[in-house]
Amino acid sequence: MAFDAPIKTRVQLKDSELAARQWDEWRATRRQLMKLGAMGGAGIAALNLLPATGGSTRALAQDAEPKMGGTVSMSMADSDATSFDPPVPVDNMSIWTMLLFYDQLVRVNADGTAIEPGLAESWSGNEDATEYTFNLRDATFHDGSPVTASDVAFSILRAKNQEGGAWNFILSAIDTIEAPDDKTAVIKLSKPWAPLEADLAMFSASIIPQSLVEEQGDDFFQHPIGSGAFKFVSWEKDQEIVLEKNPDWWDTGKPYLDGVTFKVLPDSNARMLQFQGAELDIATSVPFNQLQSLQSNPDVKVVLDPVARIDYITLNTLVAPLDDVRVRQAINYAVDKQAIIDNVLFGYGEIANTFLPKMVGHDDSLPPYPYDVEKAKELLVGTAAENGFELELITQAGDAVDTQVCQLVAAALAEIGGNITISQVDGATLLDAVFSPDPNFEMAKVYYTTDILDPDELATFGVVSDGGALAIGSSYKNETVDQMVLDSQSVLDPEERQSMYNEIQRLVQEDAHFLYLFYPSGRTAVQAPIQDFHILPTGNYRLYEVWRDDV
Amino acid sequence: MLGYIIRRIIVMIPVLFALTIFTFFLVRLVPGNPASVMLGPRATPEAIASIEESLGLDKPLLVQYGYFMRDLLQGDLGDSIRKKQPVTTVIGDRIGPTLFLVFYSMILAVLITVPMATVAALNKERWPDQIVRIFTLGALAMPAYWVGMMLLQLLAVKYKIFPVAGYGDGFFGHLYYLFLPAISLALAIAALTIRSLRSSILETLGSDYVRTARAKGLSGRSVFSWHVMRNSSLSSITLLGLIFVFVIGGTTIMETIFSIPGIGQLIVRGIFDRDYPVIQGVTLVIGVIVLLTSLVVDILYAALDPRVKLS
Repeated sequence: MAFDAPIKTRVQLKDSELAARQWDEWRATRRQLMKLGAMGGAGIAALNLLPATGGSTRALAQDAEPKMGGTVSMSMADSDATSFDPPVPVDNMSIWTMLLFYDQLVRVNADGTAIEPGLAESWSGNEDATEYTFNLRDATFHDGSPVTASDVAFSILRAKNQEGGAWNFILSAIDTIEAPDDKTAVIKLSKPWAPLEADLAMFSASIIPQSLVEEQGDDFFQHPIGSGAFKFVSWEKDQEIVLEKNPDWWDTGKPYLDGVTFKVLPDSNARMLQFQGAELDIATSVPFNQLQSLQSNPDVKVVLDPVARIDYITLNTLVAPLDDVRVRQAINYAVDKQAIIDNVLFGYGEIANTFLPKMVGHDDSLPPYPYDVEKAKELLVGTAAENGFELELITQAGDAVDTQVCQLVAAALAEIGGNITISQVDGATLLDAVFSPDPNFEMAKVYYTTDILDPDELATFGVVSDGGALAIGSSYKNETVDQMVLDSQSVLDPEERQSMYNEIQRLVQEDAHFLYLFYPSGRTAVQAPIQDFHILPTGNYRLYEVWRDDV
Repeated sequence: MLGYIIRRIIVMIPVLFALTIFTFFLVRLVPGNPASVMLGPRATPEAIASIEESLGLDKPLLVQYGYFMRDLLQGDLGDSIRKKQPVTTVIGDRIGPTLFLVFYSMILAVLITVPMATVAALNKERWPDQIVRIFTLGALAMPAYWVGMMLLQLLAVKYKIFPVAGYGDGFFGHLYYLFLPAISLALAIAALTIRSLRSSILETLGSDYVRTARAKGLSGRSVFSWHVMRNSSLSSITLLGLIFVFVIGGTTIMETIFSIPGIGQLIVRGIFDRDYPVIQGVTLVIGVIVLLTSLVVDILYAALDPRVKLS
C-alpha cells in the first residue's frame, strides 16, 4: 500500500526521566497485551534483566538460554525496500532492513527508552552542548576494513548534505566533524542541540565505508557493506532480501541466527498462506480476523506488541459544517469506538483519546469522547448541521479494515442526521487529497505512526498549524496550541513538560479536528521455535536478539 | 506470406503509437503523483517540487511526451521511479514468469479440452457428454482466483504437495511451482474451449465431406483425425487467440495470489506508486504481445485452412 508510507520523525530524548516514567506505564500495557496474546501457552510474560548493553530491561516470553544457529524467513508486508542509501528512503521496509546491516554511532535500546552505545563506546559533550566527542570501539566493516573516524565524518556529513533528502533537517545542526585520530570523532554544532545523540541513532546517520562508497558510487547501495549485526547477501527486487550473520560483530555473541531472508509479501492472503504452509517463520501485519484462529494453533505464536500508531478520521475544518467545532465534537460523540474495536479489530486495540499514539508524552488520564448520541444531537442544535448534513468520507480502496471502519462510522453518523458518502480511492489519490498544500476533501480515514520517543515532532506535524502537513489536511489552527508546542521544546523539566503536553492534548481534543478512533496493536505471528521476537514500539525489530530453539 | 507479415507489422506501428499517447496521458490524468507517493505524509511543497524537477515532471506534458518518444525510439523505456533501474531491465527480469505461466496454462487447457470435447462430441447426449457438460458448467461458475485459492489451501497448505508460492528454479522447477496457478487458469480457459470445440466437432461430423470420406472407405479413425479434428480446430484457434489476451490479464491475479514475480504484479505495484515509466513500459509490452498474438493466430489459420490466403 503506497499510503502505508509512515510518518518518520526524528528521535528526541530530551528528558530520560519522563521517558522512563512513561515507559513504565507502557510496559504495563504491554504485559497485559502479552497475556492476551497467550504467547503459545508460555503464559505470563516476565520482566527479565538482560546482562548486556546498558542494563536494559525487556519482556521475555521464556528465560531459556539462547541457542546459536538456524535461519528465519520473515515477511516484508508493505512492499519491497526501495533504497539502502542511508539518507534516501522514506519507507519502513528499507529503513528497518537497513538498521540490521548498518551501525550508527549510538542506538536506541531494546525498550526504546534511552540511547545506548553503538559504534561509539563512549562520548561526551561540552557544557553548552555545541561540541561532542565520540570514542569509537574497534569495529570492522563486513569487508574486514576498520571503521574509522573519517568514515564517521564522511557518512554523517554526506547524510546531512544529501541533495533533496527528506531527512537532512535531522542533522542540520551539525557544522563540522573532525577526526583527530582514527578512533575519535569530534562533532561541532552550529547551535546548542540537545537531541543530537538521539538524532545520531537514526538510520540516516548510518556509518558506511568512505573509500568503497566513493569508488563505487550508487552501485555500492545495490550490495551495501556496513558494520552491523548482519551482512547483506542479495537483493532480488520484489522477491527477497537475504542477510547472513556477521560473526565479527562488536556486540559479541550476537546475532544468534545464521541468517535472515525477507520475503516481499504485501498481499495479506499470500503472506498468511505462506505462514500456514510453514514457508515463512515470521508473518508481520497479521489481519485482525485471523488472530483468534492463530492463537488456538499450538504450532504458532501470536506476538502482540504495542506500536505507536493512531487511526483516525481527519476533518477538514475549512468545509461547512465541519468548520463548526460543535459539529466536530458531535461527530466524536456519535461514534461508538468500542464497537469498532470489537467488531473490526476483534478487540485488538484501544480507544484513542488524544492525537498522540501511546508513546512518551501521551496522556493516559484524559478521558476519550464517550459514546453519547443524545449529547451529539444536543451539540448540533443551532449549527448548520441541525437539520442533517452531507459529507464525503474518503478511504483507501482495498483495505478491508478501513472500509469496515468507514461503514460503521457512516452508520453511526446517520443516527445524528449525517448522510455520509464513502469514496474508496487508491493510496496515491488519498495522499494527494489530504497531504497537499491545498487539501481537497471533507473527511478522510488515515493513520500515523512514529519512530520517535518524544512527542515534539508528532505535535508539530499533527496539530501545529504551520508544521508542514497543515495538521494532516484539516487546516487546524489554534494559536494557543501552536505557542505551547513551541514553548515545550525548550522546557527541560520532565514533569513540567508532561503537564504542558497534557494541556496540549486536552485543548486539541476539545477542538476535535480529528474523529479519534483507535490505537491498534502490532500483530506478528511466528512459528513455535522462534524465540524473543518483538516489534519495538517504533516499528523495527532487533533480529540479532531472536533465536530458534529447534537448532 | 512474408510480405503479408511485414505489412501486418508495419500496420502495428500506428496502433502502438496511439497506445503510447493513450497510456502516457491517461496515467498523468489520474490524481496523485510519484513525488507525493515517495514522500508520503511528510511531503512539503518544496520537497515535491525538487523531486518533480529531478524526474523532469515539472516540464509541460507535451515536452515530457517528446522526451519519452525520443528515448523510446532508441529502445529506452526510461528508468523506474521506484526501483531506480531501467524499465527495460525491470520488465526483462519479470516477463519470463508471466509468459511461462500464460503458455503453461494454455497448454494445460488444450490438454484438457481436446479429449473432453472429443469424448463429449462422440457421445452426444449420452452420459459422457453429460459429465463433460457438468464439468464445464462447474468450471465456468468458479472464478479462477477462487479455484486458485482453494487448490492452494488444499494441496499446498494442508497436504503440502505443491509449494505455496514462488517461481522455482530451472524449467522443471517452474513447471512444479507454477502448476497450481496454471491449472486454475487452464480450468477457466477449458470451460470456454471445450464447449466451442465440441460444437464444431459435431458440426463437422455432419458435413458432406465427412460423409464422402467415410463413403470412399476411410476408417473412422483417420476420418476423425484428418478431416474432423483439423477442420473443427479452426474456430478453437481463433478463440484461443482471444483467450490468450484474457489470460495475460488473468495472470495478474494469479501472480498476486501465488506471489509470482511477473509483469502483472509489476504493473499493479507501478500503478499504486504512480511509477509512470513502469506503467507505460508494461502497457506497451503487453500491447506488442497482443498484436503479435493476433498475427500468429492469422498465420496458424492459414496453415490449417488452405482456403485462407494471406494477402
